[in-house]
Amino acid sequence: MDSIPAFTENDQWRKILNRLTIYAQRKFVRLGWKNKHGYRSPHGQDPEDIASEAIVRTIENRRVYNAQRCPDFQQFLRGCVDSIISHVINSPEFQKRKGMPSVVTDEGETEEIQSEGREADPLQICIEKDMVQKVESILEKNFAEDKIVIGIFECCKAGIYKRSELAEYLEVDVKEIDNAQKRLRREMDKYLQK
Amino acid sequence: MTDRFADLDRALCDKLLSFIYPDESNMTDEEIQAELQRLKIDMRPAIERLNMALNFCNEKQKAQGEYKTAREKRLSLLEKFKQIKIPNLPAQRNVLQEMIAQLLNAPLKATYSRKLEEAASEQDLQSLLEDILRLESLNRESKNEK
Repeated sequence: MDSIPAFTENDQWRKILNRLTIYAQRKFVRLGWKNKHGYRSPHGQDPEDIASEAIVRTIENRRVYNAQRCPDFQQFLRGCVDSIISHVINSPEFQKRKGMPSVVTDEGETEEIQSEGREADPLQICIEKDMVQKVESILEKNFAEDKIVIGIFECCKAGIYKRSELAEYLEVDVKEIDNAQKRLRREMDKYLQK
Repeated sequence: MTDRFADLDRALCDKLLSFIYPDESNMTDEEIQAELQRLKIDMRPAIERLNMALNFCNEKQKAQGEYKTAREKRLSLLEKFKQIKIPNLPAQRNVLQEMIAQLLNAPLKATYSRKLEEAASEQDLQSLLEDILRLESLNRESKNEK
């Protein structure tokens, strides 16, 4: 562990762990890994388990950190989290459980989503398509008349998604943007728990 | 259905999720802490696990350091041992017995008495004699250093 930053206080490691946990949690959201117990992977790991595992593997030199190849240590740890999560996604247990998501066609028939041949990982594409459908359904169901959320959606399309810029563009107070964010998050969390 | 959100694709969905759940790299340590509380994530078991790994790693590094020092010391002693010049004496069994009794300390006495019993050839006796003389010389040196 020669090139691992020599943090003298455990507090510095704790901050890294906290930050990495949020990173893992964001990945869980995108994968729809949430149940009534909270954010949890199909293998029963919580985001903080994945984050601590990434750090422990690095400390124990099971993941070798090379400061020259990756000067940003936090970025290296993010990569470790990605790798652990990818391992779960590619595990046979997960692949068995996660079937191809279906869509209802214009004719009212149920059809499996077809992966796009050019892309590398069909299962990953399925998960992402599944998530797009979920988000679209949440928006349609709960925010079709919400002018702020519709505005935020339009701004995101135009590449504007910073709170302050959104507020300026939509001519509302930042607080309203924050409230819209809370409303969206509440519905997302609710939906993910199903 | 309004189709207001129909053009949501993967990239746009990702942007929207980034707005709903802001990227941790843009958050301060305080915001991270607040977010963990909001998400009701109990970090204590993970911190405990991390501390255990850090302690284990520190202990391992300490042990490796001690092992390295001991190895270096042993190699240097061995080198010293080889460099000791010994007088040319005849390796007779009774002379060796006397040397073991007079020159060596208790644990070494037992070891070398056994080696003497097992020594079958003249070469064995010569080798034992050289070892005893070198050991005695090393002992004397370390006593002088003290």
